[in-house]
Amino acid sequence: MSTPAQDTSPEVDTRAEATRWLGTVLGLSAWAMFFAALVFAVGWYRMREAWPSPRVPTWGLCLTGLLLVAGSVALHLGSRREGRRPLWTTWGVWTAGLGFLALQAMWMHQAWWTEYLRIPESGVPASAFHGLTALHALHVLGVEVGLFACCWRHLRGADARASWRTWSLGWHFVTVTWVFLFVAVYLP
Amino acid sequence: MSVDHKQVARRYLWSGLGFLLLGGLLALLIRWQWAWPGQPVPGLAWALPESRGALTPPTYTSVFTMHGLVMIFFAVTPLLFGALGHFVLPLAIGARGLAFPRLSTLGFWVYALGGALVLVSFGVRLGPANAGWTAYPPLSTTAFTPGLGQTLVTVAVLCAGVSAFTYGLNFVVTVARCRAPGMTWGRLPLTVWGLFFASVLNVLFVPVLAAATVLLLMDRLLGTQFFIAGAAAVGGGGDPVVYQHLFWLFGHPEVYILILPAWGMVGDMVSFFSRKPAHGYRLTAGAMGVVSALSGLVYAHHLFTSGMSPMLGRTFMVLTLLISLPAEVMFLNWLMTLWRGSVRLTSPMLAALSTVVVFGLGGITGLALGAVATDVPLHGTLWVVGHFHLTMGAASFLGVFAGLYFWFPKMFGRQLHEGLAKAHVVSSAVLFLGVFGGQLAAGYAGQLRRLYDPYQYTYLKHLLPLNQWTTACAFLLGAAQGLFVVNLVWTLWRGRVADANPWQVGTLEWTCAASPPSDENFERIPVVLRGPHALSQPEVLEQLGRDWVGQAEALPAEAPAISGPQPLLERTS
Repeated sequence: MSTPAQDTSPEVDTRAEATRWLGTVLGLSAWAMFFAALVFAVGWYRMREAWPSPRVPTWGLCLTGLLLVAGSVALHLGSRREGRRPLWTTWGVWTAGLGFLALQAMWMHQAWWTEYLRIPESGVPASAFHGLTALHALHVLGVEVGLFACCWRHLRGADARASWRTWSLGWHFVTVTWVFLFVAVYLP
Repeated sequence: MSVDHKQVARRYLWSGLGFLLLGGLLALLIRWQWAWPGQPVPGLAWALPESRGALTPPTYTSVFTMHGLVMIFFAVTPLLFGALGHFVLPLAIGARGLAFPRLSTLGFWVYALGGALVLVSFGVRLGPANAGWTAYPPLSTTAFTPGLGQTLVTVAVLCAGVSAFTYGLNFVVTVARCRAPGMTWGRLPLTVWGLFFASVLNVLFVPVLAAATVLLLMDRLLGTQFFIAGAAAVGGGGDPVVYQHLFWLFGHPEVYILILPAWGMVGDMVSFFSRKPAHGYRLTAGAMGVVSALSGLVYAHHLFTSGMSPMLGRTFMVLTLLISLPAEVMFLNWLMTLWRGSVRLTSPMLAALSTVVVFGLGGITGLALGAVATDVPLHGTLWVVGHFHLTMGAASFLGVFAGLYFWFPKMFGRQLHEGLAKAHVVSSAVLFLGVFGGQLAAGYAGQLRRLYDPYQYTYLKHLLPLNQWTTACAFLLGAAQGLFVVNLVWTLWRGRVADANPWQVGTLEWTCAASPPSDENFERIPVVLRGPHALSQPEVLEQLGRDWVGQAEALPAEAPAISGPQPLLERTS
């Protein structure tokens, strides 16, 4: 027994989008293991000896991360309020992402040049601060590129809703992983 | 560039076989060194002119490092998942393709990039990687392995990991979302179950390898201190043991990543060629799931000698030994399936049975390594090498060939010569036992792993004849692969056209798709009516006059009832 192929029906489109969504959720969930492994490594060092302060204000790093949290909240609310037109929220969040990257770069710069938290002289804490911050920032940069592409497609008249949902999930992902980072590395 | 899963599978097949050849040749060099230490290797003077073809200690360490890396990351895993998994999985579940075809193509090219880096590393100054396949720091840091080759190979491993992550994710989503109508979870072939569980392990644990590798690369390239210790450390230094934990958190599941697809194939083939339904189908699938779940909880038995707490050692010992219980369930189910079956010793069946034997021996010898008391004296010896080569090497290799011999007619529409295939499988299995049995014996006698010249120690001198005998087996094993090469080349050139269903089984790829399948796999998406092992059923014999029925084939007396999920016919990208 067999059924004919129906590759172009709207139902199929909906299911295809659901499949993409599942793939994104599973992929990001699995990739969280990358950060879990990094946190495990830092946890190991923290158990071994006292963990020093990153020499930049904790409140400053906290405020920087709040940009990600705010972006997550905005994207969530935007999905509910704007429905089919999440464009302005997305531009706002994208700008917040740039702000986050700029502030993180500023803190790293201050830690390196002003506070002398340098690699390799400052050992594992400096390696963790600079290395893990940079790895996380690379992920944020990837999400920024995705969100920009999404907005660009929307501006050109394409339907970017599915893409928008995918990259929103990416933003939530980097927000959650930033919390891991904050607890594992930035808190003394 | 085609994104068809069958094309991607073929690309993985050819490149995987190429790396299998490279890894095999490197293995023969290692064996040569253990049989005739420091003697020139015939025909190798062109590559090692300064030593007139003899392996020097640095070359030897590079050779065994690259053998392990190439075999695991670039040969066996890509052959099982990249070639067989990509080809079989969508066909076996009645899908038109993988859920994310472009992702699978991307994964192949990332793998190809990694493979290219591996090849390039042989040509750079100071040679390729030589810190062992596990790349333990501090040996793998620039303090001890300063060459560019180690960096290139580390990036290559990262590429292989990214590739594994992409196809793992693709397979999980494909099985979850793209099954044909009626293909319930309880009707999946065991091969699909094996691939599914292994893919879950891939997506969960490959990121851990990625984390370890990225930190190692940062230590090598950016001067961070995560794993640098001792005199090379600056500012307090890091801890190399962290790397070992991260590596084995991935590394032990990797054993099951390599064997679960083979177990699935064994389960199917034992049923197909005993002409009986798989005994305890649900238990077998469940046992694979339990093994997968436990596999992430046992990794630290690799670290019993690293100075870990005895309490932790005991915990990991118990968990490690526990994992043998579900494995036993599978073995018993296979034996029960064979029991009183109408067994047909075809080449895939012989390969499947050989897989059972060599993995069984590998599993039993592994018990001694799972228990702390026996692991401590055996850990640094060739016993470990013999054990993991039986499980990860021989069993996976024979699993690959079980799959290849079984699905070759579907992949290429031509039938391999059965006699040559049987000779290849049987000789390989026997010689594997010779090679790795010899390693187990040498290890039990105390021969240490990785030694350039074991006979520098008086207490190991008497092992030279044993090692020479083992080396002879290894060279014969290498020669036996010529049977496969001849068979492959001859068949592709002018082999006979395969029958539509040469093995007379009922799974979708054999009953609903052409050989080789069209771009869309199926002319019409099949509606599945039964499980994959409906063999020798009285009503089928009575109504169709044969002992098998297709998964989507309605019996004349059967109402065309359709159950299971709604049709899902799309392909996304």
